[in-house]
Formats: sequence, structure tokens, C-alpha cells
Amino acid sequence: MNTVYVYDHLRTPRGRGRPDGALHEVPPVHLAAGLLASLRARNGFPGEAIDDVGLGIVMPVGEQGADLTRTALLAAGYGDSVTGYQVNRFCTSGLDTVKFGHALIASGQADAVIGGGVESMSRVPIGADGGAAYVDPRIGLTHPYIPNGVAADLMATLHGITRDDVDAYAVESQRRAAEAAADGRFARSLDPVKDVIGQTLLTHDEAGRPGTTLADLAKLKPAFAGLGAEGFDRIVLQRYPSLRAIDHVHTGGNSSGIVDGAAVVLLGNEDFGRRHGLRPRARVLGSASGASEPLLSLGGPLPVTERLLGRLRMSPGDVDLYEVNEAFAVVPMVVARHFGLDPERVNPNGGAIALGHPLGATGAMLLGTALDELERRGEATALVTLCAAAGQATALVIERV
Amino acid sequence: MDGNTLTLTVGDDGVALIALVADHFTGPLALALDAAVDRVLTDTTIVGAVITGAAPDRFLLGARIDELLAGADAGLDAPTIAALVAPVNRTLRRLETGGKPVAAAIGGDAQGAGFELALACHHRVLADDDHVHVGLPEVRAGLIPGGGGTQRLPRLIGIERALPLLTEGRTVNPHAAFLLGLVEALRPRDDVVATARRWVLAQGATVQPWDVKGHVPPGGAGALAPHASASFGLGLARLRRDTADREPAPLAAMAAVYEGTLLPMDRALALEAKFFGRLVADPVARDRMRARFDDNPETR
Repeated sequence: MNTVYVYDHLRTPRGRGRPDGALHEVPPVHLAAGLLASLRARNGFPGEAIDDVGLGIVMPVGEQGADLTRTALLAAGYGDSVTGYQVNRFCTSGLDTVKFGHALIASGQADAVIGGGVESMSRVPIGADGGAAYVDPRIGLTHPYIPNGVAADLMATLHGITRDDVDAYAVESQRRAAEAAADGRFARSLDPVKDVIGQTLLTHDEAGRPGTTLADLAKLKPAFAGLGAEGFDRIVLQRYPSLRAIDHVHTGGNSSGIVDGAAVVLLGNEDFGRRHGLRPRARVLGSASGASEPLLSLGGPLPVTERLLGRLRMSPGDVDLYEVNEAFAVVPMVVARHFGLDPERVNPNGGAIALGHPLGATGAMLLGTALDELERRGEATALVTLCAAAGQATALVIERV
Repeated sequence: MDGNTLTLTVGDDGVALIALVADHFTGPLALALDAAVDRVLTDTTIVGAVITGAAPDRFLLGARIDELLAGADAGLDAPTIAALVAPVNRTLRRLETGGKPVAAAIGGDAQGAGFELALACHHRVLADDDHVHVGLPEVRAGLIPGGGGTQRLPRLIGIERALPLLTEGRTVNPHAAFLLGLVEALRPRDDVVATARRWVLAQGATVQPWDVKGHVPPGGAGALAPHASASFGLGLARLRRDTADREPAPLAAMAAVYEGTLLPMDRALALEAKFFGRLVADPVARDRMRARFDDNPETR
């Protein structure tokens, strides 16, 4: 297998995913095109040097449909020859494109690829894609789709994690993200977004709430108790009869934020770097996807991380840094607890609770954040993992070179 | 057309009056109805039809559960049962696609297949009497409508309004029926036939809204309808909660609506018949039918 290197990565700042968010006026194709153009400009490779480009887009409909990636590549000046695809495996999509790119290069079928993702959640809202999982009654009877917030509350209940626990985690995520931003740790990988007349719309992540306290969070109402009472609690309790009730601990304050954003990761073999005068920053050691019990929905990172580490002959302690997507506070908490990880080594710069979770792009963002932090700390390896709906997950390990 | 099922008389104005003598939608009635539709469509002196009850305070109830059970207990499988309802659907399709206006003048309860007949008409006039109830109560007998009810009702009033009626088997009084759009007019009982007749004479050639190219149910259908997540996602979770997963019929009704409203009408009716056949052939569902019948033999 060819060694696969990470040469660079770049992301937009994350804008609040609402009509008053800074990026709301930017169509997602332009968000992606701008970022792809910046990646090429700062690394100086010709467009035709790229063999394939994948973007994770979890709501691939409307203006995010019709293979947005190919259109964004044309708009970004990559020329006629570069193919693009979009992929949707819910929240792992951005990391999945990196995984697929890794596979292409490792197997000798490509020299250079770009992975990443884009999601304008303020413009193409969650659920815009319909989907049998959400609405087909025959499927809903036998393989129901559990709203992820209810599944997160189920996971907390199963692990005895309380409202105070998840709120404390969220306070720390906000603190870490604010500290990282103030310290300039995100700066080198942030590509400011401009409007149609070249004015800067956003230079920094804007969804965070620095200074959030436990008392602030304690005031928030459970976000998913209502959905649970409509029938979803009953469905999951049938599957987990040892539980008497679901403890609805998650709120808007300890769940990931709805944001707009995009991210890209440049992968290549050794020859690609040599030809274009680029220095590799890390190599991809391996990746894996897998799934577990679908009603729990968010439990995939445990078996997938275990499987990937096993395949790489590593133990959890061999990995310097973990980025575990903060879809809901309970997810990184359970992963850290399961593998006995030092909390200081999990999401050290905060996560989606503070920074936001632009569904299809987040996987690529976490990879970039992990790489930047490894370099800052002078450490070697990082594992990135995200849960995806219906029990799925992807994990990927990088090592600095 | 023996006098035990229905009578057909043509007035001087060319309007055929079809008077339903039978209480229930039986096999003989289905045959008589088919012959009556044939007469209305082929007799060039007939301009349209009014369907009403033989007595002023009656219209028509659904099939008898005991008759259905007898068929199911004879070991008929789902395809056979689906094939059995096909002729009724063909008759109702001919009625609504024949071009001549047909109105239902409803003076008494119109339920189950009786209301399905009214839905196949182009216009419904209902007696303004609180004792009258109309609707599709099939799920309360462990069944789903098998004569187009799961398809015509959502196309007429929208999935959001139709789904609760279908999955709960709720019948409604005239005031609610009018507000929901199940009927187009309320009149004193002694005026329903005359009103329906006037409508037929004024209407001229007509088609059902769902036979106009490009028709979608009010509010939309399918996974991309704005209400889909509420109707079918949350709606199913609620239904499973409220029925404790013990009632196959409401779930079948919801599936028939979800899948059928995306199809052209003829395919939609055939799909409904498959869900109907699957339900009647299912021993679990049949036990529910039997239990409901034993509880209340008057449930149709």
C-alpha cells in the first residue's frame, strides 16, 4: 500500500445556522468553491493534479443537491478535468470522504484527492431530504429511526450520566473553545468568508457562548422530553427493558450547535508532494467504519474505535489526542470513559457544543483541528471519530511526519 | 338489479336516481351497482346521477365483518383477497371517470364501504342532522378501507386531515364533516336529494381532482411533503404508543396512505387492496377482527 499523506487542510469559520448568522447569505456551492480555491492558492498545485474530490453533504437536496462538488470545483477554477462527488452517511460524511480518498491513494488509483464537506444548515435545514428512515411507516414499525436527541438521552440513562455531568462537560467545551480561539489556535486553518463584493463576512467561529456557566445551562429545558413522550421513549424502552424511564438530560446547551460551514483536506502520495513542492504534515495510518445497535443510534464510535486500534495494533493509550464529535455531550463522555482516556486528551480545543456541527463538514474539521493541535503540542498521533445516525460511525488515525 | 339491493329511476330531467335499498355493502349490491353505473354511462338520455338511500334517513354502511371473516377463515391468501376487492374498485373507477356528474345525497349514516361509495362520487350533500355519522371506521374492526378510502380521502382533504380519521377510525357528525371537507354541502334532510340533483344538472361533464394531470393531495404527499415528518415520523411513534403495537390495522392504513398517495389512482387502489389482503389474511389481524365483532356485532 502507498503511504497516504495529509498535506494541508482548511475550513471556513462556522456561522450561526440561522437567518441572522453571518454565512446565511452565502449559498453552499460558493462556500465550498471559495474554500477549494483558497486551498489551491495556498498550496500552489494545479487543479488537474487532483484526481477526485468528495464532499460530505448530509442534506444533499435543493441547492446542496445535484453533485454540488463538481460545480464547486468548476467555480473554484480547478479546470475541466477534476471529478467531484457528494456523500451522505449522516455526520461521518466529511471524515468518510477522507477515508475514501485514503483508500484511492493507498491502493494506487489516485495520486492526490481532496476530502471534506459543506453544510449550510441555515439554508437547507435538517430533514429537508425526507428519507425512508424518517417517514416510511413499514420501516418505522420494524426499524424505527430514533431522533438523535432521544438516543443521546438513552445513552446517558444507560451509562448513569446525569444532567449535571453533561452540563459540566458543556461548560468545559465552551471554556476550551474560547481559550483556543483567543490563543489563535484555529487561525492558521481558517479561511475567512467573503461576500459578493469582496467584503469579509466572517473570520471566526461565531456560535460559541464563552463564559457559559453551570447555572446558565441549568436553566435550559430538556430538548427531547417532548419527542420522547410522543412515543419514542416507549419504543427505546421496549428495546432496553432494564430501564424504567429515559432521563432527558440533553438541552440546547449541551448538544451540538446548528451552524453553516465547510472544510477541505488535501491528501496525496509522496510523489504528489515532491512534484508540487509540498511538505507532508501527517500520514493516515488507517480508518474504519462500522455500526452498532440502531436505536441507540450514537454508540458506533466504541466498536469502530476498538476495531481500528486493533487493526493498527495500538492501544487507546498509544494515541496522543482524540477528537470525538460532540454531537451531544454524552458521546465523547462515554467514549472517554469506555477507553479510560484522560479527559485532557479528548477534544482539547472544545467541540461542536461550542463551535457548532455543520453536519457534512464536521468530520474534516475535526481532522484538521487534531492535526493543528498535534503540531502545537509536538505530539504524534490522533484519532478522530464521529457517530452517525442509526448506529453508524467512522474513525481515522493520523500520525505526524 | 333486484329490489333488495338498489333501484334506478330516470327523471324527466335526465338525472338517474339510484336508491340504495341494502343496509350494507354486500356482494349482490356490488353487482347491482356495477350494472347501474353501466346504465348511467351508456344511456345517452341520462345526464348524471344522484345516489341516495331508499329511505330518507339512510345511506349505506360497510361490508359485514362476519362475511369478511368467513372468507378469511376459508383460508384465502392475500393475493386472493386483494383480487376479490378489485371488481368493486373497477366499478367505482368507472363511476368517477365516466364523465357524467354523480352526486351522493346522504340522509343517514355513510360508513366504511358506504362512505367509500360517496367518496367516489363527484359531490356530496349531507343531511344536517347530528345523529348522522359519516367516515371510515374500518380500523376499529381491525381492518382498513378496501374500496379506495385510504386513497380518495387524503386526495380530497389532504393527508394531515385524513390520517387521524383513518388511523383512529373516527366517524364525524355533519358539522365536522363539512369543516373537514368530507362533504361539500349540508342541507335539511328533506332537501338533500333535490340539492344533489340541482348540482348534477348545473355541473355538466366532470372529473375528479385526482384525475387531473399533476394533481397532488392538498398539503403534499411523500417523504418531501412539509408535513411528512409530523404525519408519518412522529405520527407513527404516537400510533405505536397509543396502540401498544397490538393493532396492525392503523399501521397498515398509515402505510397505505404514505405509499399510495404517491401513485396514480389505479395503482394506488391496487396497492390499497394488497394492504387490505395482507391484513385480512394475517391471523393476528383476523383475531382482532373477531374480537371486535364479538364485542359489538354492529361494528362494520
